[in-house]
Amino acid sequence: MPEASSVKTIAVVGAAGFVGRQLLKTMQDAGVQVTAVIRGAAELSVEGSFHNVLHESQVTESTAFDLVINLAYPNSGPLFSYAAQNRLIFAAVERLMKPGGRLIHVSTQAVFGLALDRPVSASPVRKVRDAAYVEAKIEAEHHFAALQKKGGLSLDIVRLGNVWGYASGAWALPLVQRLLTGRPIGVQGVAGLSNSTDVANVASYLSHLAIQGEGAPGLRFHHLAEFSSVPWSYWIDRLAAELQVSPVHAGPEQMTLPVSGRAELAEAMAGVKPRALYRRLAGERVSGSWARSMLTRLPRPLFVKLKGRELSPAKAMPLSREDQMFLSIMSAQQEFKSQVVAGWTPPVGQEESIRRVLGWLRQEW
Amino acid sequence: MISIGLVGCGAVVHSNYAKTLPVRSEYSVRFVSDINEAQAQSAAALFNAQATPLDELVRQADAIIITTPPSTHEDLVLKSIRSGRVVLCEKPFMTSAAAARRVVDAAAAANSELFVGHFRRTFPQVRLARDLVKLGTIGQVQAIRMSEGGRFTWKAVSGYTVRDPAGGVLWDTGSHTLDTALFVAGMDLWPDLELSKIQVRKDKAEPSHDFKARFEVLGGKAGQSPVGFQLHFSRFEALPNFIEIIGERGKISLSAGMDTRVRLATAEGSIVLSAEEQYAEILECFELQLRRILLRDGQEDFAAFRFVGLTTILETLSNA
Ligand SMILES: NC(=O)c1ccc[n+]([C@@H]2O[C@H](COP(=O)([O-])OP(=O)(O)OC[C@H]3O[C@@H](n4cnc5c(N)ncnc54)[C@H](O)[C@@H]3O)[C@@H](O)[C@H]2O)c1
Repeated sequence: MPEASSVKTIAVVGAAGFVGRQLLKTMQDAGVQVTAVIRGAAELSVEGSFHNVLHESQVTESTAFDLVINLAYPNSGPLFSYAAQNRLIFAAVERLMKPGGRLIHVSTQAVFGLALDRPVSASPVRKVRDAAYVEAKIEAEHHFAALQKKGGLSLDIVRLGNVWGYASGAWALPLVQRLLTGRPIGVQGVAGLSNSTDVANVASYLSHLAIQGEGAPGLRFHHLAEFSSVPWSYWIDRLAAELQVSPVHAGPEQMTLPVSGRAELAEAMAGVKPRALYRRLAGERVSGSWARSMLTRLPRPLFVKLKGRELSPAKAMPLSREDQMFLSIMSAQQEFKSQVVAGWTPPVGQEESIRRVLGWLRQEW
Repeated sequence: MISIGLVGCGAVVHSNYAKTLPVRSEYSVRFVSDINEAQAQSAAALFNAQATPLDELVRQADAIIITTPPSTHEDLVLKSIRSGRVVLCEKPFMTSAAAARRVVDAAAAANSELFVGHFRRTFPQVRLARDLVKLGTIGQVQAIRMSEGGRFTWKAVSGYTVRDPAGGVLWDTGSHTLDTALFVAGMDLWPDLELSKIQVRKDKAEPSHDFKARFEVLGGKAGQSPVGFQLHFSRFEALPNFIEIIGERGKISLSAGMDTRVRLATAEGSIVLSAEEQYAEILECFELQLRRILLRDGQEDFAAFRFVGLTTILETLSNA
């Protein structure tokens, strides 16, 4: 363990987020104190009293740090406000930095497209039209790279894969929610790469860079996705088994057309007369046996609608825009391989990662 | 035209009521009142209403909606009830079961109709899940599990969520989740309930921001066995946002947030059922709740007596 005294002052911008909170914890475990720069109520942002907390509004020119780690990005409010939010973040980061100081800026694989559909390389990306979130992340890379050129600072841009893991609101939660409610979680016949990284590994890597890194002037790109080659189906099958549900896959045609999907439904419904069964149920003659008799004949999850007191097949809904976006990320074919500094290995392996997520899902205590 | 008096003009009024009360022509906000004059003035401008002292509002309004922090609810409800008047109190209803009983009794004695704004009861998946329980698909309810959590971003004007003992995650978010579970399980209709075998873990004294509990609830009809509860609410971390109602013969799972789907599982496998209603956004459900109560069309689900049991659970847990 490196000595805490080997680093000087460190500020984390966006410390109250999912990665930020993990990072503070990891730094605390390593005995490194940082200043958490936050926007909301301090008490709700950062637990414990180990770290200093600085409200964004208290940042002045005189509060300069040796190292700034930026995790903040535009993530709320209307999409058209992202550019303005970005500018506020840039200003806050710059105020915190010493001239010619050091910045670790955390970015995302999405700078190569939400569905990772542009060529990946550990070098600057061009500005392109994309989702507001992606454009904002590309803009931030450009902004800090320009600042680096001008001021000769030390800049590490760390692009993260899909940050999943224990309590991941971005990945673990939606996967669980989709599995439970029978929403599509993949596309039939498409084995998408998860390009994932466990949040604990993200925190470990950032902490490693902060503590070990020399911070020579210059611009360096890092890519972090230690589970890049793990297919989504690996994580999903484990979650589905825990939840005792079968994952639902959209037909490939659903990804482009407004679909009916009726054929699939008809197949699932073969031999089942839910209307009659439900009528029996509503007539209070059937208790458990209704569900049972229906379930024994179902080859896959069945979607039915409750209308008044009757059960009728649900019309297959076309995939929403949100579904389409989600499924396109789940279908990524390109691998976002890790490119990290020598001397660091991810502390959390694949089995440990899923074990932690399952523990979270079970809510054991 | 029903004239409405709104007491408390903070965050929820600006974010929810301002968008949902003005959509109907049968009622309109005429009077607003707040101990914070600036808040009262901004709400008056929103609704084109008159900012008045509380007494004046209580004298003049046909219906009263109370949207102040929880610790003020009892006093304000008692001032508001009057024969024939509809009074809607925001959740969490009261900060003690005794207070809940007091105001329910006082409203009945005054012939006033008192409701509590637990609008999640209008969510499509919640109604569907409740119907499934009622129809006996999972048999007698034996256990309930729920969790809900995420980064807390709500900005209450008065700051009560980080100061008031009844402003923590249990009372604030947990009251919603617990209410949904009790409603689905039909336990909101139990005349009396009692808690036992309570285990609680929380980050700090109330108002706490991370709250875990295990306990059993006794009550209901003769022959009902105790229902085991396990819950976790957090303002720090994302949690699986769902409720599971486990019965003798199967299990019903539903999201805590607005949704249309419910999963019904039995020993043989599971199916997903989808409710007929679809709402594009959550405020449609909020509006539906207001309409049900103010126009007395499906108002039964929100009758105040149905929230005494919930208050008992919240009070017992927060004191545990
Ligand atoms: N149904 C929902 O989903 C939902 C969502 C948010 C809040 N709420 C509930 O609404 C209520 C208010 O929450 P909020 O976030 O708007 O809080 P807030 O602090 O933003 O607003 C409360 C307002 O009430 C005023 N007030 C306090 N005491 C008063 C009194 N005695 N008389 C008149 N005014 C008084 C305050 O000055 C403040 O303006 C709470 O009970 C909360 O749980 C419900």
